[in-house]
Amino acid sequence: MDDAKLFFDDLAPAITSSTSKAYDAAAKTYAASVTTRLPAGIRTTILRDPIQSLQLVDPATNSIGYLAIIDVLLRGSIPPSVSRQLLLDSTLQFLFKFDPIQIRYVGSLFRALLEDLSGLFSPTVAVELLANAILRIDPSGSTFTSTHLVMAKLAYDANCIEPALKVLDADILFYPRNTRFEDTKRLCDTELEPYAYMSLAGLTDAIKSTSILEYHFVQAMSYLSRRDWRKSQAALEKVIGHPTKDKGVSKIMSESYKKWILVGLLKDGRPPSFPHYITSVTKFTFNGLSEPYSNLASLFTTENASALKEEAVKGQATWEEDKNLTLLEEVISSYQKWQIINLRRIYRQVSIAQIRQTTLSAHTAETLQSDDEVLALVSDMIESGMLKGQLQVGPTAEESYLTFLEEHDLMTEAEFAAEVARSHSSIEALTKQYRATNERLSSTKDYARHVVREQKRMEKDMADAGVGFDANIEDEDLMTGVLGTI
Amino acid sequence: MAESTTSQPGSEAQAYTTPDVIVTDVPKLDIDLYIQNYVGRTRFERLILIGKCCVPLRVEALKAAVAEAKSGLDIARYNDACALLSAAAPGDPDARMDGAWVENTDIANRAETARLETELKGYRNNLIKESIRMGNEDLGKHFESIGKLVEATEAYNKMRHDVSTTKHIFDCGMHLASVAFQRHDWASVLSNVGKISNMSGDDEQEQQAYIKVASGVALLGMGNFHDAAMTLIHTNPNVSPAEYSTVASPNDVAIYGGLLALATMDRTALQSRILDNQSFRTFLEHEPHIRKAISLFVNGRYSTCLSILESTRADYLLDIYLQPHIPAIYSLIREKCIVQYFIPFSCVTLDSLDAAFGKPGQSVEPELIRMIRDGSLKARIDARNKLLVAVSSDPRLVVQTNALHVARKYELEAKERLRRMNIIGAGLEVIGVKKPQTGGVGGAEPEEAWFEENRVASLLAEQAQDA
Repeated sequence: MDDAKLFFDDLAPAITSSTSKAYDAAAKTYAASVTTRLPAGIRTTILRDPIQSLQLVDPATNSIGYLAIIDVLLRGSIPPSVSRQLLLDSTLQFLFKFDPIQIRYVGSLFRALLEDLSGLFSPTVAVELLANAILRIDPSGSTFTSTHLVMAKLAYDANCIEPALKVLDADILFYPRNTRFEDTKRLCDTELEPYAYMSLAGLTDAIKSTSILEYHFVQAMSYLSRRDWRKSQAALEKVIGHPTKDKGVSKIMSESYKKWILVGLLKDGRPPSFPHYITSVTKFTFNGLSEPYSNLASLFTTENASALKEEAVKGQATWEEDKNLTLLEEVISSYQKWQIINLRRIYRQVSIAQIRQTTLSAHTAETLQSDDEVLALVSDMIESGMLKGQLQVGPTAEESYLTFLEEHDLMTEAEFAAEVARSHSSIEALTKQYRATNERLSSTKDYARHVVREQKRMEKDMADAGVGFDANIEDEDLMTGVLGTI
Repeated sequence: MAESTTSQPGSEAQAYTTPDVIVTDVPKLDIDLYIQNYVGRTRFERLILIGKCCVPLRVEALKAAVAEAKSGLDIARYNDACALLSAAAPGDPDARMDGAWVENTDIANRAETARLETELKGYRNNLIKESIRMGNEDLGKHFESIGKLVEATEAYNKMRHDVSTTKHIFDCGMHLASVAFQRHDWASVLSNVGKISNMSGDDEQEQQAYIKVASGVALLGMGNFHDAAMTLIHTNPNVSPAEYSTVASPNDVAIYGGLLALATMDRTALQSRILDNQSFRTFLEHEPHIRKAISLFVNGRYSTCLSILESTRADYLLDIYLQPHIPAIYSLIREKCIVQYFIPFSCVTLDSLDAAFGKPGQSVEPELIRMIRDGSLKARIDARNKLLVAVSSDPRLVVQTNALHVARKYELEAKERLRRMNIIGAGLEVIGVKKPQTGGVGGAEPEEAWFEENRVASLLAEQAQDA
């Protein structure tokens, strides 16, 4: 056991060393020696006495070593005398305390541990741990990793979305890059951006466009099951607006588009409008694929409840095939709610009896049976926050009134200033990231090629200022003039 | 030949087969006085319209129509008028068809057509431009008079090849416009009138008057009320009405212009453009009702204005060009009255609105609801206190909401753009399939990974249970 202690303590001096160069070299050697080149003797020592070996190093200061020990224990067979629970508790400890910098040197091992969590813990715990680990590595949560997708799927499959929300709510802005960074920078640099080291450190698997689409799709579905239409729509918008090349539209995108229409109806009571960055080719493809949906959506804003009902029945097979039946039913039920909300444009106060007469249910294409149903519906809407209004219940329906309140609350000057300041600082932060991105993109191959091409073109233009008959005239056809050179 | 005429698309015989307006009130107009304002084929059309729609004047109008048709050469019209009259007054001697006249006219028409066509052919062989033009014109006129409007248009169109003076061009345009009027083809009236509108000739004033009236009526026919009003009020009153009597009378100009202005202009515009407009005033003198209605509207006495208009509704419904648009024009005026009435108030009781605008036993509330829904009335109804309340927005709230909205939108957009830049930078776009023949509709080809990752399909399945 002492050998093992000595062996693992090897990192201690390196950690204290001040220069990042020394740290980097030491950490690299250490990581290799405790993982791939771990002597068989030490491995057996660890497996023989798990309890003691787990106390060899501190997870917070020597995360590399601790991870190596956990890994050996989790994959090897431990003596039956030691309870597995102890091992799991240590893993838990580790995941709460690990040092995000050291982890970069054993990234793939760490990722493997995260991916195995669902087999070790109950889904709720696993999701919680995954979310914590993701945010510990990258506190802003703005860089996409393969672990994101693992977590989102697990959370949605097990229907424990709550603990995953802190990751799901974060805006994904960056994607890991595979290129090496400049020699002056090292894996251990604290100011290194997460997207720069993630894949280099092995903290993420290779990312494909489908991984991103799938992540946002699952994200949207998770919000849907929480009935958070706004966030769900935003997530779906990320899927349908995913940049495309060569007229490509993936199946996930078109499925999402269908859901996006329905969610838009739920959220705003009218068909959503495309974000402007979607290309016309993509729009065209979407429209061609989802006619029943757009028909339904265009009827939603009319007062023609029977046509809406008819359309919903007619498309039954489509909804079922697309697995959108439940969502669709939700939309149909919300039809009358939106009609009631739209009454705010006409009335300041309106009696329950009038609501009953003027709004139709899309389920039956008729008015509701009794005033009590209307009353229940309206109070339900007020409670859920969908409708801003006040209900005054009188002895009869004619004397019960709904008063519409202002859609937005007036903020105090201080609140308003705070909100503006928040926006300002957030935009300022974004500006910095823009600059960084700009700089990064300036050094890409594509941009370099573009610049070179531009320069060449400029040179040619300069040389041939309209009279250079010696060049650039094709086929002696002078009538067509000088052809542009590219 | 007569049969072929009736089957021509757009011929007047077809245009009137279904009268959807029936006027039972006794109108104020007198048929003889009314019809003498017009010349040409519009007389017959106007008579037939009155005969079809107006119960009290039916027989009188139809008899006049039969006489009018018989004085012309158009057999189809005569047949129509006779059929209508025999349905309205079976015993009337005029209702009996004059078979001999029909036969003679038919023979005469054929002979005339043949003669003109031969003549034209002769002119063509001689290659004398002016003769060809005149030949075409004569043929067109003949076709027009016997009711073959398509052929007439064709003949008139051929005139255009051989025009040599501006007067000729003007004639050609006028002929075409006149035929288009009969076919109720407003777009072609406008285009033909448009072609001649910028010409200056010897009798420019007369031409301009015709152009204004014709394009005004065509715009009315197309439902473009504001432009129609603006065109009509610029008609020169000093030109003899005979210049445009094939289309409308000065009374009509006053009615059309006045009503449409009332429907589309605000109070200041009405005052400055209509009441203070010296030239249009001359027209309005023919129709004191309209003038009174406009000045009542300008002075804010809306209910009196509406009741005047209501009293003359029957007359206007018997106007050939106005009839289809009367409900729309009246409801526009009514809406404007309500909106104007409401402007000075922050809230008005529904009872007082009913008193001002309601018809007996009928509340204005449904109308108000419709207007608010359309956005023409900016107000809300307070059903509890029976009030119509003006929308007053808190400017501070508006500013706050807008500012925050803009800020959030900017933030979201900036994030999305950054994200997209990074996606493209990392080469993670969805890439289309190069071979479209393997793809399904619109090239939506599932990515390979989609098949690998069957998880999403199962997620979709579970969504049905979850949501």
